[in-house]
Amino acid sequence: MLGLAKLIHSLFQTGEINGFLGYKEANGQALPFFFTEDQPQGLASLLNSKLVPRYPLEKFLLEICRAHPEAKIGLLARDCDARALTELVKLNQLQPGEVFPIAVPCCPSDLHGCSACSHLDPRSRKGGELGLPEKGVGKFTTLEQLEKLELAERFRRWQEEFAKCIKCYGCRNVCPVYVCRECSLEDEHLIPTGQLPPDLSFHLIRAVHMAGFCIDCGLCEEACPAEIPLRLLYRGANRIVERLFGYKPGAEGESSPFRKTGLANVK
Amino acid sequence: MSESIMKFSLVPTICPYCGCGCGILLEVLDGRLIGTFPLKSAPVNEGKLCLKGYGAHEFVNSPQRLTHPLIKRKAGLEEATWDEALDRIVARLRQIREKYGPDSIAFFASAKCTNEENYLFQKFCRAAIGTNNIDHCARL
Repeated sequence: MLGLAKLIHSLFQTGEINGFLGYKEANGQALPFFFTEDQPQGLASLLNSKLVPRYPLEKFLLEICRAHPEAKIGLLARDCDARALTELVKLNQLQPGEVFPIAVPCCPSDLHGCSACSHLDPRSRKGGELGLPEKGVGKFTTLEQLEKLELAERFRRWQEEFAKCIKCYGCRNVCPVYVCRECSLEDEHLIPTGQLPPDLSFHLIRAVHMAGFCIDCGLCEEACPAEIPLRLLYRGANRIVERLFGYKPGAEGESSPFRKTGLANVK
Repeated sequence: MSESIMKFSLVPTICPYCGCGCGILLEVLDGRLIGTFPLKSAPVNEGKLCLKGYGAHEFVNSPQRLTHPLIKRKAGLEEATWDEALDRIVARLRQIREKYGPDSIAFFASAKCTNEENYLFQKFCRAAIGTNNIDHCARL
């Protein structure tokens, strides 16, 4: 049994947690899994998260917490998961002591100090080396490279990327900080319906809403069937907030310059 | 801890909407289906889904879902028993086939059925009725 499994087992025994969200191996594939104290033997198939695909465990956590407010739940927290949890507390979706994150550092994000780590995506280490593609923005372009371009060209290149969109809403659906009850992306007054690719407003509204909230986990980009470099887009939106307010989403202890109303947890 | 037993599972399965066969994870909370996520280990979709796939759980508990066979009578569509509905289908299929021939009937299969169910369906269409008029909802 992994050391991690032993740790979780002991947390079950002391009653510090009743359930644990992590990953297990089932039928030859790695799946997100909710381990519970009444079936501790399941921990034998627990996987260390570093080698498995990432799922937004925080989204599953929120669903469970809403149905079982008294439950104390542990969560396998890579750096992106930890940032998401911090942001969800700021968004009034979780109480600070409600979750027991077990940290597994492994993140290539700018929002974390260990940016040299590119365990999950070795390509990100090469960011920028390939330069801009002929069309569009490309997955390996850096913000610095992009900002050197004239505004008009930058806009044209983003439009080329957005033209690939099939409006699956995947970027929003997998987003760990998407907690809104109503979504502007489904408002037909803001975004005309019945056309593909969707109106430019679709991407601009989402980008503006991510500014100051995006925890740069990159799950949106992984979920995008059209391979639009969304992570880069939201990094750009975040950078504006950082320059204006000195705020980085997901950072502990800092309060967000943004307030969202009407988001109080149903508890 | 909450009084009710806390149960949450993610069930890997295949999207029912078309012939692509994308892998999905169904989110089940306390016995109730609440969401769909793309399955990253599925070789077909590699963690991506289309708009329909993300809503693959929605019809299951939809209040609009038909849970009984309906028969069209003078007053409109009325709930009926399976026996009555099947008897009606058999009688009418027979009648139409005798009067106009087997090619006057067409069959429309569903991607929501299993492979085996669709096999039986086409067998029924070709061997029992005697026509090749068969298609399905997932022609892409």
